[in-house]
Amino acid sequence: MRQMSARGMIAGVVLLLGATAVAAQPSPGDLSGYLPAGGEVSGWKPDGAPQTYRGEALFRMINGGADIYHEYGFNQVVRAAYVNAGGQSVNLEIYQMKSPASAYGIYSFKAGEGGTPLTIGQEARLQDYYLNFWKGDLLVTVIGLDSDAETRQGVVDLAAAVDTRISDTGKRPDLADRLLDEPVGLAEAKYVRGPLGVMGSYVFDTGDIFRVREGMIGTVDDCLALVFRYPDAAAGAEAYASATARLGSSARFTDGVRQGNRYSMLDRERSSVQITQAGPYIGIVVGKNQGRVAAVSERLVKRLNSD
Amino acid sequence: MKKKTSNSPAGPSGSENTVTPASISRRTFIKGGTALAASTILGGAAGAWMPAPAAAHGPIDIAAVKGDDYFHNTVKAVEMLGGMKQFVSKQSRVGLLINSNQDNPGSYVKPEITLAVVRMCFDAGAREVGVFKSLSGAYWRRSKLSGKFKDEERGVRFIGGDPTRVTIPGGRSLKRAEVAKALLDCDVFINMPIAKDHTAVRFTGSMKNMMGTTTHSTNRFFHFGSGSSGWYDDAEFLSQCIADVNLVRAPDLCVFDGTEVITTNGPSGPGRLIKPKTVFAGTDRVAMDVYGANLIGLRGEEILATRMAHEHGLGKLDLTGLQVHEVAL
Repeated sequence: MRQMSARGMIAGVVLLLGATAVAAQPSPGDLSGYLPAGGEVSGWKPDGAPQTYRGEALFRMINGGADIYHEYGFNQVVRAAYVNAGGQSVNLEIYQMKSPASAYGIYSFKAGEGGTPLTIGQEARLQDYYLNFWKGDLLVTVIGLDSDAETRQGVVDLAAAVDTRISDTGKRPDLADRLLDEPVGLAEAKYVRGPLGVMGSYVFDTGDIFRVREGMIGTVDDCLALVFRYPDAAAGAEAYASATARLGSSARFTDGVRQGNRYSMLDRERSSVQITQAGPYIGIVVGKNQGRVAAVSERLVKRLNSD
Repeated sequence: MKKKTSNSPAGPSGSENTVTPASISRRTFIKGGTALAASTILGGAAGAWMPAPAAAHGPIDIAAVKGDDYFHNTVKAVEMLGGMKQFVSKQSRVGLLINSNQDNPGSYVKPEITLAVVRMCFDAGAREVGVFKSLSGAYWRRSKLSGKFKDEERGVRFIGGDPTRVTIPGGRSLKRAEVAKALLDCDVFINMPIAKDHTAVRFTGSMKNMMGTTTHSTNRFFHFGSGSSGWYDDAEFLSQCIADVNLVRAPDLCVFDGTEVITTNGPSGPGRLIKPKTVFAGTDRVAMDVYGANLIGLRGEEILATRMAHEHGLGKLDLTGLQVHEVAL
């Protein structure tokens, strides 16, 4: 596949922005108004009528994959297909979530690691054949059904055209801001709102033993770091006590040691796992090097205690 | 073609059974094969958990074929098991359970693989080939072979409706279910999953694919039957139901898509795409799931439904004693 340079993409986006700056703003609640019209993106035209799915009907669109959206807080989605003269196809999906935090969360979950950052929407990231960005309470996902250069450019141009139609921006959750910046500097981070968001990163148990409702997961140095936030310190302490009790009897972990609000153990890969309760937070660090795990855990807890 | 092992009794079948698209001759196909070790063939995510294949003795348990032509990979994998006639007799009715209902790259069984299986079934003398999930025109058009196999595309019919109730005496969580009647009625049942990520149960393979034969109300029981409030709040109960529904009927053959698969954001994607370019076939569905899980960097025993299916006696969790034959074309 011929790789497109970031400069080339940006140039294309800038041209496109100029051409579409006059696009009308859609009415609230009507997601189809965010879709680029025929002729708006050079070389690409709509293929069929867009489909809208609301609430539980999302399962009809992505059977088996809808629950993660509901975990973050989902309202509705519009899905449209675009084709070019060469017969290549791009799918465009615009998800309206319940809040900007929900949109940022599902964005962080879907965008994954790596990719090329682009100045489209908020935090656009282009992967091999797809692009995600969030803006306000919206997540925009553009998927090329091929990964050739022409399709990739179409993905970028369609994303930019949608961006020009969205006026509202949103603020990241404060938990994300707190952990993404130094001294913690969480990398490859995702914001989670429940157990499904956690499962893909690390499996503690088949059940939701930490009762996760909000958290951040990412890497610090060569360690995996997870932070879960609870309504208050009492709820944090209760979640810590019940989860560590369960982990203490789990066949997945050995060498469990409890020292007050800190619990350490080894997993099946002989990685060190350190769990610390700090007020309304539980911080967990997993890594092969026990010394680095302890050091990262200390940095993490210090940051969490700095309110 | 060089085989990885020397005494396989199940070599390519006779030329009268051969299925080849017009563009590539059978001679070219066979000559193009080169044996490679599993770690070389699969590379990437597969390396860490891939057990060493057993020495060659007895029939092949898993035939895995890597190559750029997914149609040919499919044909070759089935031929290594003895050919489709081993599974499909003349005038039989075949039911195909194809994971085809997503459309992002790496989330659905490639149409080339479906076309190859359909073609082989008809060539073996099948009277009827049905699918439990309807295949749209858009599905077929994703393949460049689509125009060359119009008879095969038109030849399959939808058999997924008409639910019937079954009891599952050995089920631990699922004692009764509604399944497509054709699952019980078809003479030959071929399970065709794709080895991909699943956010909640980690892996989608042949066990999970069986949910494609059950009704919506039964699937809801899988998710909520234990009293959980969310679709995936009780992964243990869900996984047990998946293992239990596999007691209803064993597949006569599994043909797995391991060609281009997502390892994140499954089952629908888009997500990180890896391209092992491998089609693998076999009859031990548990072992096939373990092999598929290995392919995307997971351990079979960590997939709850796979482990529970093994506990039901549905297949082997440990591949080290199996005849796993891998070739590259």
